Amino acid sequence: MKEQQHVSVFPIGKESAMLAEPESLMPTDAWDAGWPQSSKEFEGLVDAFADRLMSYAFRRLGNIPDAEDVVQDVFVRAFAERSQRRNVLRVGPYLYRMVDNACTDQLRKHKVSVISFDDIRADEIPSGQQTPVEVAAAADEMRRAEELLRSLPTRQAEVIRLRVFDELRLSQIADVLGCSIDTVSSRLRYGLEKLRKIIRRNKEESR
Amino acid sequence: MNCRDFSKYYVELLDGEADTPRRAELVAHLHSCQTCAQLYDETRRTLAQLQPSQRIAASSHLKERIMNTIAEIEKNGYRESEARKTVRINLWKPALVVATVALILAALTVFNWFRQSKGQAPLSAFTVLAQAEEAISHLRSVHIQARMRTLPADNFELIGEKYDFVPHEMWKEFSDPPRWRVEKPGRVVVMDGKSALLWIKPSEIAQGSPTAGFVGWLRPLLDPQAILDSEKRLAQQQGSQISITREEGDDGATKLVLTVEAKAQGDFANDWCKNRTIVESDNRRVYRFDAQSNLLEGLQVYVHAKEGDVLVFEVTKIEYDTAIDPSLFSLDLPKDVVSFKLPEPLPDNERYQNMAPEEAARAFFQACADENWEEVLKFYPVSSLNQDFKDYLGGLQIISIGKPFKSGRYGGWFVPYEIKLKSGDTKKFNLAIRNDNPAKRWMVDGGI
Repeated sequence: MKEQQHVSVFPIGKESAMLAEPESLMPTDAWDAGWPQSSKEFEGLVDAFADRLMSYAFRRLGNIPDAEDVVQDVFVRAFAERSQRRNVLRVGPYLYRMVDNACTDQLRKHKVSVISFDDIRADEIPSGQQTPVEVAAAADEMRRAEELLRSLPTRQAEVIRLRVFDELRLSQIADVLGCSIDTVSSRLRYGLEKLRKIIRRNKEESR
Repeated sequence: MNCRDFSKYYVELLDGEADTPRRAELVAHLHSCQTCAQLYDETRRTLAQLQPSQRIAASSHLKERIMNTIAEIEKNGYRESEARKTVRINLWKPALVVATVALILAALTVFNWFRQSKGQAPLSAFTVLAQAEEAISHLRSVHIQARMRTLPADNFELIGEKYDFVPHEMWKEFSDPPRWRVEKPGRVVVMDGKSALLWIKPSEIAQGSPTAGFVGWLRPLLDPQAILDSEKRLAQQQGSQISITREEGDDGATKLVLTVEAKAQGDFANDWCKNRTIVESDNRRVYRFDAQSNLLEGLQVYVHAKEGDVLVFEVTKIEYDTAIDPSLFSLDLPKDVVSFKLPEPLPDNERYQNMAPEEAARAFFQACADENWEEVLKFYPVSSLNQDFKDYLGGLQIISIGKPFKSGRYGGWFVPYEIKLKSGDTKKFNLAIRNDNPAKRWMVDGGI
């Protein structure tokens, strides 16, 4: 016998790794938690949701200042109305709905209904610690992804956006869209199948 | 579960939701059906391609503003009209200041970058990789020679700073379906388009789907498009750092050098697995692309060890579009091979399922001690035990079994043991066992 450190002789090992949960999916405990009551608990809520809600609002509104405006407003209201919301069973779906409504209001105010991602400029993407090159790459990637998604039926595209950009689980997407998990699964499946075909066709055409 | 059901429900696997009965069935089907494994793999790739490497995120200023306003409401109560006014003021003024600072910083950074790269415009790492991907999509084949500090017959992931270099060779034909072969002196994996076959010389084999993990970390090299996906995903998920420079190569041509600084992944409360694989090491990966053709020309991986950087993997030669001998995609196996299989539930499976890791290790060694080979097979999933195995472990004596531990990214447990072999030698090592298989039984996975 040869000395083996730790082998992976049978394939299950690595295939299990392939099945491992992506690290960044929305944690279920934060999503399913009740309405936080203390400012300390709210800090946890902001940490768990702020990035995703920003990404969601940005997709709806197409610019950073408006998206920040909406997200801040929603969190502040969520805190101010915390005692009325005490009986809300799960905070995740509710927050998404609050942001969704706030975006609709915002768009109505500006009388814009559809945001074209072609209009997104690199300098509208938050820089934080990102370098200008990375910011430009982010804008570029978003445009490329959006171009592909635009060729899908809107409902399928939205499921994919919630999964890819907001990193929500199927059950959470179902919560946000107010439909069943099976509906979300089949939209995701059909959407991905179409995308696969499009990507393959693009590749063949470039050959 | 049949293929129709799999295709209906497999997206649930992407989520890693809790263990539902359906999930177990999906996993079992995935492992047994190559067509469906391919479907699943392609779907994952499609998702990965959409996955942005840079994300829209809430800035730390936004989080701070929210928390400040919340603190104020807590102190003074909430008056809607005023709070909204506060929100506006808080929001816009700092935002404008931040925007100005960010612009100045941006200008400085571009300027510095411009200077460092001697007048070359700054490059996005992802643009370079996307171009490389484009170049690869026109390829017919790739043949890679490399060397890695590892053991000749151990798995393709193992590395060791102290090990000698072992030659590796890889071939890939971009046909439909693609075929590939990865080889080192003690191990070969051949994927003939339908399934992957691993041969551990001289006489053990394992069969798996085209996506089976037999070649571990080398996999992305076989799939040059996946270098983009995987480095992008890793940068995003694990925070590895990516940078890119232009250099003049030995041949006088311009090269694009992509450097990835990656941190060891996993839990190293016990550091048994630290620096045992590339993924479980702090390392630097240096990819070199030709600026003209965008093709990958080289790769070096350095592990940041205590004594300094150690080169553990190096591509020594890459050839594109050479003819590949079709016989490379089949294996001539000796007659007496035994094969590894996924364990199936036993009539008394529960008894084994309920064992703790150290109990399972003890039961395995005890069965070897008693030369009860039928029992050994319940812990070692081969079709039959070969004579080498029986001669080596038969009649052993257990000296001690220690406290199991986890390390790195390994999904199972390591159980320290000391045994006395029939040959008179004693052996002290860690047995690797895992139970993430459909039967949920403990299987010996290495460390013998």
